[in-house]
Amino acid sequence: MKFNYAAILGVISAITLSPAADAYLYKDPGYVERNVRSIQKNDVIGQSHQYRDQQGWMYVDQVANGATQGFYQAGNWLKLHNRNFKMSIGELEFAFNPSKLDCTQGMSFNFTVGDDTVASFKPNCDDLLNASITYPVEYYFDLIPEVIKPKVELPLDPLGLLKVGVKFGAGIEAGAEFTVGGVVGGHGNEEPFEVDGVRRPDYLYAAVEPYVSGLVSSSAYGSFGHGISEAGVKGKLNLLKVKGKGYVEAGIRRVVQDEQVIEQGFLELKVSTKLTGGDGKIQAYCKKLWGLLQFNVDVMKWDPLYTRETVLYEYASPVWEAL
Amino acid sequence: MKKITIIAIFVIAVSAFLVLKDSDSKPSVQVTYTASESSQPMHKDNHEYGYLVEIHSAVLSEKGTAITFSDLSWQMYFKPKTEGASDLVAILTNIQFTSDNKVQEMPTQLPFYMTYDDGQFTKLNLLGLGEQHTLSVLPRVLDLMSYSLSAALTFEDAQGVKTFRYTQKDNAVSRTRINTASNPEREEEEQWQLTLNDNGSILVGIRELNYHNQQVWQQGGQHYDVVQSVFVRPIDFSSFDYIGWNNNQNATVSTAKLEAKQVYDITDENLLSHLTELKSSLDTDLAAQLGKYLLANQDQNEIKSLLMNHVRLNSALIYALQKAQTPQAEQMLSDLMSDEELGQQVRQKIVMALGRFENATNIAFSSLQTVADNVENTALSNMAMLSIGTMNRFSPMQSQQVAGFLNTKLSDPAQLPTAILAIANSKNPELVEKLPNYLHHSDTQVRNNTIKSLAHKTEYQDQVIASLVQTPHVTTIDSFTRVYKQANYKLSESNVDRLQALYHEQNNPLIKKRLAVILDI
Repeated sequence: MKFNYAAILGVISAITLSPAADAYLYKDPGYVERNVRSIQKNDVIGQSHQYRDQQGWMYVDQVANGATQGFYQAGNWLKLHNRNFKMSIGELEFAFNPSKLDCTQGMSFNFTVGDDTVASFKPNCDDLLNASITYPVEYYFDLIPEVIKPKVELPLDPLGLLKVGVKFGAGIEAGAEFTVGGVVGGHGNEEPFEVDGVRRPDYLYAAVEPYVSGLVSSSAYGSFGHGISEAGVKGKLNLLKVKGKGYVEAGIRRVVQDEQVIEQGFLELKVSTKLTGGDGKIQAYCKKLWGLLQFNVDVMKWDPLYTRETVLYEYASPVWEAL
Repeated sequence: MKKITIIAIFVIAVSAFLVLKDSDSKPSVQVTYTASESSQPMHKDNHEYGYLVEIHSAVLSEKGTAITFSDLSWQMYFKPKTEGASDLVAILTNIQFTSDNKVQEMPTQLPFYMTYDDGQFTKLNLLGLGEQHTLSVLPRVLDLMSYSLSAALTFEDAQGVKTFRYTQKDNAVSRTRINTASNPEREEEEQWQLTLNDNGSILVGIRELNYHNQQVWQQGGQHYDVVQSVFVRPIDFSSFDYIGWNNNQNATVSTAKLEAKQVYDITDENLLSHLTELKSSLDTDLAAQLGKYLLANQDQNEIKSLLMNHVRLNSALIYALQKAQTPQAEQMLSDLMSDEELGQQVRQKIVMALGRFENATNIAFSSLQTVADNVENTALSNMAMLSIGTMNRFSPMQSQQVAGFLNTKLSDPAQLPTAILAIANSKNPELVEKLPNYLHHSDTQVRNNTIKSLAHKTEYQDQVIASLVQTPHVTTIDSFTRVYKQANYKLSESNVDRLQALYHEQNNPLIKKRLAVILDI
């Protein structure tokens, strides 16, 4: 947040003289994005889509009441043939209290893939004195275990020993870049917080940029040996590449008014998204027994989305406000 | 006329096949096909039974040639669990399955529970056998061996729900289907006959079952005949030990995966381009083959050099080693992990790979443990702890080690918040049961991670709500709301009351908003 020192003085002088009542600042827009992109599919395939959402909130109060808390999360899910799979979630639990030595106690960046928390980073206040840290994480994940791969299956006999089918899997590339930084000084903090003689940051900023891409693959199978090598499906469906971004800032400073020290705070929350890709198709073709599955030529397909970047939500406190 | 020809061809083919099979077979039970009254074993009064089951299945083209055929047979023995009980303990042995003349791997034995009551086999418990396993046809075979003269029976087989009414004349039981669903795509014909023993006093009086099913499948230009027959006849009882079986003991019976794998021709010259292909295809077969190629042709230094010189292929390289799934791959990943020169990003990927390596050994575990215990690199250490939790699901053999390790971390205040998330990853019920102890911890982050890990389960709702109410905090209440909204249960009335009381006490606007969502205000 870039402030002109003179502007700050102007603002301070405009504030009334009454001592601040218990006040707080917050913004809670909830879900700023909730979107589904449905896959065009053959009738025998159940509901299939790629879903994404982003949400966040920020709260600033006096340090005695907990100082600042915040949250941002971007989540991605894949629904294939009626079954839901969590792809990835990038999440920030924001906590900043300048009156504590451990000013970032409670702050954590978490990265989840499927059912697992894969990474959890906790920044250290001492590393954020006019400095920032970045934690990138990224890898490939075989999203759907073999035993729960969605299937379209046709048993040919009553006992089910002779089956032809098509099963779907998903490979994803998922990751997130987490950044956190702190700023000391330059914002009219007249009574900076110091713990054990060391000044704590005036404000903290954090950004979380989770992304996911990948594809749906399919393979034909039969419960018998013959004819397997002649695959009945081909092609891949590329998933939409989704990159979310949550940016937050929050700060608390102390100014002197009428010989009283009052706390003031500000917050910022900005959420944006970048989408690209999402093309391809999976086709079934008649090769001996797979014709019995009644697919027409296209099993699943969609057309690419041209790259678009959108700011979904943006708010920044115009001035430091009394808490 | 055509159908009779088809059946005749089928029977001839099968008989010929059986003759061939017997002539070159491994030692197996001698099956003698004599007149049907020959094998009436002496059941005596101890209700011990043996049956031979044979299933022949085939798909025939329009011309009658077999496109595919399979033969599945087993010997089945069962006896009452305790004297006089209708609960039975049973076992399949000598299980043989060939598909298109290729012998398929089957377990040597399959134990299971069932009940026999007035003509019907019911309450089958396959002790956790995977649904995809071939032997999951057993319930349907037992349905074929069942009948009732007092009521119609409804079964579900692979092709739908069918209801039958049974009639008996002398020793022969026959059945008629009474809910015929019309199937425009196919014509179906079925013959079923159960022959009973003369002696009506024994529990299971089956002397013979003969079942045939033929279906004609037509679509577009394609025409197939699917034929299946099941023969069941008694054999002498062969005793087996029963000391109690656990409900999951067939879960480890592996299911053969019959699928084609594309074979890639990987060479030194095209190695990098295949790795680049892996980046966009994420194909697990390609990954596995690349991994095996790397292990066969490169040593640790060469792989390290690849990693250092081709940063954009790092994920692909590590993923290839992960998917290779061999002890050598596991060792290579562990060795690479200990090389700090590879840098944080590569080591992070290896941490993720080892947690997801299927059936890893102690090598992977120790490697992750060393990283997790190194508190100087907290980012990597936390990731390793989380990966150890995940390892519990991908490598069940390491369960005990994982549990021991995570238990220790619960006593370390610095690592406790992450240990809780790692326990949630593990899904180990004994570890998860310890989590409620942390619902009242003084550290908000500990409470928050615990709430996130327990809030989706109804059995912990009382304890979770108690924690929220006792120490209301915007972060924990927000987390709970998020998880609860996606969960499958509703809060009990008393918990709703507690939250309503909290709602009225609270002044924090965010807490009030979240409670309003939960309470539907």
